[in-house]
Amino acid sequence: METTEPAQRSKSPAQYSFDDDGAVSIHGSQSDSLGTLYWPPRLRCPRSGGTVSPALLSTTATLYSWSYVAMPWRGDVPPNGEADGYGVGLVDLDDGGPRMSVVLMGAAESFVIGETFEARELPFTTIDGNPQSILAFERSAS
Amino acid sequence: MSFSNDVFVLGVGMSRFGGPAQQLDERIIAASLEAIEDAGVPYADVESLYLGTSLAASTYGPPVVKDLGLTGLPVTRIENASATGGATFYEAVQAVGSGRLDLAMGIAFDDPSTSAVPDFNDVEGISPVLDPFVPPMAFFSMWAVRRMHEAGTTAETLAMIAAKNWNNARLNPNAERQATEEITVERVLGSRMLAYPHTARMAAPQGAGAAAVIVGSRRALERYGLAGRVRVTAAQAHSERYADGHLFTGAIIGPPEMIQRAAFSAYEQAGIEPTDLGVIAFHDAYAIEELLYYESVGLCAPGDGDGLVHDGETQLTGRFPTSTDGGFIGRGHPSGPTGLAQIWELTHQLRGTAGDRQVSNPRNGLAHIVGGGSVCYAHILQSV
Repeated sequence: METTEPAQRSKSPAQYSFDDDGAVSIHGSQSDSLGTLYWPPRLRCPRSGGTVSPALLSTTATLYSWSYVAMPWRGDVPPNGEADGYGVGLVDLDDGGPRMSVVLMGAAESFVIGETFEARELPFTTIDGNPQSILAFERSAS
Repeated sequence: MSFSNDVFVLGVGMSRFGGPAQQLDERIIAASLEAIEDAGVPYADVESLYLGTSLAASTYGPPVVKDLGLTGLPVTRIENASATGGATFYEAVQAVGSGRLDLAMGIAFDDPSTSAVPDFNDVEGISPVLDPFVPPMAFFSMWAVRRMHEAGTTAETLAMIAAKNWNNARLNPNAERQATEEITVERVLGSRMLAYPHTARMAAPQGAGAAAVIVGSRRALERYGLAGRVRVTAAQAHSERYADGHLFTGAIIGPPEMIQRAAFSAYEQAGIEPTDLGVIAFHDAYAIEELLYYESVGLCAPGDGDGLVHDGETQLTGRFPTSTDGGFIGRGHPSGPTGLAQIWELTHQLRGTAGDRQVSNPRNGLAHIVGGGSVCYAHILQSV
């Protein structure tokens, strides 16, 4: 009797990735007709309804706004060594990139709108012996 | 878009949000019976029922309202995040305003403590809705920090808005927050920090609740011999348009353009100006929202919202009384029923039955609510 494999769920496209050497890639989409960049990746262009192509986005950005969330960090090691809070921000990626909401590295209320930031890998916990990381932004070295 | 038929709010009801523990079923039936009694029409004559919930399990709702009567009417569940109550009202109003029906009812409810909504961030194949590291309150706080940067707004101004709403709630027996003494700006600022600059007293509580409304046509008014009912003069539903800085992740409560477009489309439909508003219900889940919405809906020029607060213009005795029932911050925000609670409050204000929080002779009221995703509803009610 012929059997049917259960339907497989497809994973969402990667939104970012890290190389072994720690380099960050931010995965987005670019409108084929308008050139507009989007993050996270889109299936179609929200402006034109047309097609999009995969695009690697800039990993440097300007801080649009920020806050400091007074809640426990969800991982093992708080990003700033403080157990009761961490920074979050809205950053505008360089080279015409989109705005993103991200975790910010830095002390409470130390952020300044207009500052430049760089993407980096932030290890936050280990699951079954495998380190888990998220995308974060850190103030650019001047 | 205008209505083919005039639409009136015939009756409203709501359970107190939050408060003593009570089964959600009981809250739903109590709010519904209050609306039916207030309307003065038999439930058996209601031609369509819209049930709003953004947190309840699938199929919850229709079995509960069987206790109102198994009349065979169409029952439709509606969900639109925080704007679910606004969406529920909108659908009921459209059913009557289009001329399709003469009587429609909306009931909305939620109990956040028993939410059945799954965490979509953990489901493969579905784009993450929320970044677990950037919670909803962070977005509103980042709005606030940007506003402070651009316009010099201070945390004290946000605290003044929150204190106003806490103190309005003290006059509303259906509000979740019932402070025993006046809430001062200092007490708001001194409460626990959630996400800079918002403190716990600048944010909405999320207890359980239910609210209900019955709307009808002019024909229904005549059939049941009803008089003095509030008229719905505009019902607008909007979503976002693309603009630079558009966010595709997070608990996004849309851009100013959507907020403004919904309100001004409603003014055009109702044939009024923002200055004609005598009472306003906002989506003040966080204090910064109310401040920004003053400007978005045209109560003042961009950047002048702080002055409106400091001049007392949004107090019960001011030119633009806002969040008169306590708003999200004072009355509470269970999610589903919040939009119908706005209609409950505007209806009482426009009838002159709002008790100790009654404002002076309002002619037009605006109910303005947004939902993550994002969507926006604007309704204008008018005394008759």
